Amino acid sequence: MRKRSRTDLMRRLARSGAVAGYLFLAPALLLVLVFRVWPGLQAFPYAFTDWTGAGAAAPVGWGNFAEMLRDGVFWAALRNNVFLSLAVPFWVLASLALALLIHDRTPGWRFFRGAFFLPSVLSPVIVGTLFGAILRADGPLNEGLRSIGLGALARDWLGDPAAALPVMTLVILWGIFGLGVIFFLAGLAAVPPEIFESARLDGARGWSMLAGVVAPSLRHVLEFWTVNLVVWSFTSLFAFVYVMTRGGPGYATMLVEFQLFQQAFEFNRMGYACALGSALFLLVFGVVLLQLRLMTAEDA
Amino acid sequence: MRSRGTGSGTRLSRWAITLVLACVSVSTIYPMVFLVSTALKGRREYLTNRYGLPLQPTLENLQHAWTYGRVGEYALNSVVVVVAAVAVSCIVCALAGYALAHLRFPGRRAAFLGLLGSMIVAPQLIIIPLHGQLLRMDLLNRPIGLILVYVTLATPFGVYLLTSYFRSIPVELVEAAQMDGAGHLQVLLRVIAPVGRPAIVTLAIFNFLWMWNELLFALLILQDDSVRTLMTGLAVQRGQYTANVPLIAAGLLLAATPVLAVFFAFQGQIARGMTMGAVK
Repeated sequence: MRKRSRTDLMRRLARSGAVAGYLFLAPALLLVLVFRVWPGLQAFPYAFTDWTGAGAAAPVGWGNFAEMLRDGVFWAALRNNVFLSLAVPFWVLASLALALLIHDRTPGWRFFRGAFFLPSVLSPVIVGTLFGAILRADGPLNEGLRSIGLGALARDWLGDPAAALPVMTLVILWGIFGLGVIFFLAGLAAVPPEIFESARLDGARGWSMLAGVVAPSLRHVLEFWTVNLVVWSFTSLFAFVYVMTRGGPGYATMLVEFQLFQQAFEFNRMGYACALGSALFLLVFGVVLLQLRLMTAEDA
Repeated sequence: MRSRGTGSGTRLSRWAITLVLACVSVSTIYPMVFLVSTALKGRREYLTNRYGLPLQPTLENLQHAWTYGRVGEYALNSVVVVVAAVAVSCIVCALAGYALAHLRFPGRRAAFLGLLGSMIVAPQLIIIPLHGQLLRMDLLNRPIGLILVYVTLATPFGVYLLTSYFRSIPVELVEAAQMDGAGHLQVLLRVIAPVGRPAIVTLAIFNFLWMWNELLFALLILQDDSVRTLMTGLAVQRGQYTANVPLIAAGLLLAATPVLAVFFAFQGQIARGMTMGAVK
């Protein structure tokens, strides 16, 4: 009896597609579990050891985290990360302003859209190396400045402790603002034109238009893009730092993710690096949750 | 064309707007022009004609970068990894997307949220344990290791994109095929894949771009010089030729060429793929 009902159940499941469903999902689930979730979970126990990558790891309790609090490099890196994330509003506003100007169907808008978008498909390795060469002490930017009599401004842009971080931020902005323009254009395209039209008839102009009509209709895109940039400013700038400054001069452009890389793969301090990773994870955890909530807003 | 946007349209403001847009596009295009023309200049011409177009263009730098800079070798490694990862990722995500969009089974919603939720596990958190795990699995310094990691990293967004798109395919189409006796795999191949092609192509292009450009995982998983990807090769060599700007430019230009070709061919599709999830 029992056996028969079980085969019945199997048959019912097969017809409804349950077996196929699980089979089709298996590769995706398996990959994510083996190469993402499992390593992610392992990072936390490693953070409480002095693991060097080879041999056994001795537990050190909260030692790594205590060291992190005393570690001047970590604080410098964190400060730089915060500097970058504080630049996010400017990144967002620059992209939004350009998108609005293009959306007005200025002659040549197609060309402008393509021109702005172009840098964001280039690898950070290419963007960083190109600007690294342009910004060198004997690079073309400084020679240009000298040739027009502004030689006093010339400097080793990425080697000057005061200039390096703002200059690197500008290079990153150059590499990403066009994608923001594309996001906002997609958002604007989804807004019925009558909304802007009737607001204009009601006398909305300039800031009142921007704050009262444009921003609310683009709320979803604005949130999504801002959240994305904040996450990126903490977790996706490794390649820029690696090819442009390696965190220098001193620690002027050190970021937490680059310090993690150095500790792990240059100093073999895997345990300490896992502690840095856990800290970074906690820092962006809330923001990533918000990102996911925005992506699933409609399904929830 | 009549303004359909948000600004007011006096002639003066139109010119001002065009001027602003033109200045910003010069700032994005000129570095690219500089890159291309520098790559085509001989060392001597680069000394005398730094900012202009090359007057005596030469392919010398490109040849040097290709052979001595080993761009050719690294590019082949990149092609192997990226082509395989893009293809496998499309298959994995299409299977999962079909299951999540058109099959009914317990735990479907949990699986969808779980896959998407795995994005919480930041790359920085996993690289160290992942490095050790790949070493134990004997996948370090082998292209297959990086391919599996890329497919994994591409899975949450890919499943999200294909599931949303496949959901918009009418259930009647799927059911009609099932009535004709088609199995689920056949439905996927004959109905879902052709109708869902735009989304699958968009996903493939999007994955190609970031996988070709990626540095962190490529650097850590393929460390041996013989298996290095192009971006790793360029990033690691960076220090060696810093004085020879035309040679650097040539390497960068060669590395950017596939991406630029895809960009010029599929700009609209890339834009749609990247903005999926933000715009509903």
